[in-house]
Amino acid sequence: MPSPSTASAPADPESQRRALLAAASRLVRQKPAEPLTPTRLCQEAGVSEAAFATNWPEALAFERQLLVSLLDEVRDSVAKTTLGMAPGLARLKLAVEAYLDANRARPAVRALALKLQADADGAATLRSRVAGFTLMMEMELQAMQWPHPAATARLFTAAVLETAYAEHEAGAKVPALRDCVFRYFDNGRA
Amino acid sequence: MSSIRDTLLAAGPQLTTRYTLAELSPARIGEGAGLDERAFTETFDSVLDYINGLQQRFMDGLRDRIFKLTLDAPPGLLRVKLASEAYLSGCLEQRALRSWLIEARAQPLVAAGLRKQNQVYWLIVGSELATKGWPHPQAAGRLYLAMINEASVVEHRAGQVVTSVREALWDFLERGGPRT
Repeated sequence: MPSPSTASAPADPESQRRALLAAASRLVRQKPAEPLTPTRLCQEAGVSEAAFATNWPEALAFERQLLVSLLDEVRDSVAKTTLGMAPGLARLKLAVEAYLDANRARPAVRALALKLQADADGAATLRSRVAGFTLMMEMELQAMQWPHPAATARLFTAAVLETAYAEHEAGAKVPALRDCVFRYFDNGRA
Repeated sequence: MSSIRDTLLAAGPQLTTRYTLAELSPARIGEGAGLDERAFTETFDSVLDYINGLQQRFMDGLRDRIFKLTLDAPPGLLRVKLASEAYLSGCLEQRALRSWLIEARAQPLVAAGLRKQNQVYWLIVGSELATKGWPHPQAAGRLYLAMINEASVVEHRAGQVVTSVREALWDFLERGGPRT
C-alpha cells in the first residue's frame, strides 16, 4: 500500500478538511463504483490517515459534509451554465438540463440523499436545496408570466427530482422524462 | 372475522390521535388495538413494517375510492382528473394518518413500498395519456405521479385544498401532451 504523500500536505485541520472534501468529490466522480474509505481518501488528498478522524470522528458527519459539498457543486454548475442569460424559457430549460447532468455526473449525490434523508441534518440540507431550486424555477416562471408560478415551480421541482432519481437508477440520461418536462413549457401559453 | 393483522392495522387511525410516529411502540400499538405487545411482534417485524402495512391499507382504500368515482368515466384526461381529485381529497380526509406516512417516507423500507405502489399508478395514468396521443405516456405518467404526490404534501401542510396547486396540475394535463 503506498504511504500518503506528506511533502506538500496541508497541516492545519481546516486545510486538511478542504483537501479531503475536494479529494472525495474527485473520487466519487471519477470512480463512483469504488468505496470511499478513509484510507483511499487520505491518499488521494495527500494527508495522513489521522486527518480524517480529526475532522470527522464519525462517518455520518463526513457524509453530511460531502453531501453539502456535492450539492454546492451542482448548484454552481447550474449557475455557471446559465450565467449572463436573460430569464425565461431558454434559461429555465438550460438550468434543468445542467441540474440533471450535474447530478448524473455525481451519482453519490443521490446515494447520499437516499441514505441521509432519515437523518435530521441531512434532511434539512436536502430541504433547503430543494427550496432553492424551487425558488429559481418560480422566478423563471414569473418572468415568463406563467400562471400559478409558485405552485407550478413546486410541482415541476418534484418532476425534475423524479427525473434525477430515474436517471440515477438507469445510470444514464432518460430522454423521455426530460422531454416530458420540457414539452409542457415548450407548448407555451396559447 | 378479522385477522390480528387487520385488527392492528385498523387501530392505526385512532392511534394517530394519541401518539406521534416517534412515540409509537409495539406495546402501544398492541394496546391501542385491544391486544398485547406479543400479538404485534408475532405479526409485524417492526414499527416500520406496521407503518408500511398502514400505507398499503391507506392506498388500497384510495384505490377503491378512485375506482368507484371513475367507473363510468370514459378513458382520458377527465378520468385522470377525477381520479386525481379523489386521491387528493382522500389524502386530506386522513390528515393525521398522512402525517405519519409522510414522515415515515424518509425510511427506505416505507419509501420502497410507496415507490412500488406509485409505479402501478403511473402505469395506469400512462395508459390514460396514451389514449390522448401523448408522446412518452409512461414517462409522463411517472412525472404526473411525482407531481400529484407533491400536491398532496402541499395540501397536507395547508390542511385544505390549494386551488393554485390543483390548477397547475390540470394545466399540465391540458398542455403537457402532443405539441399544440
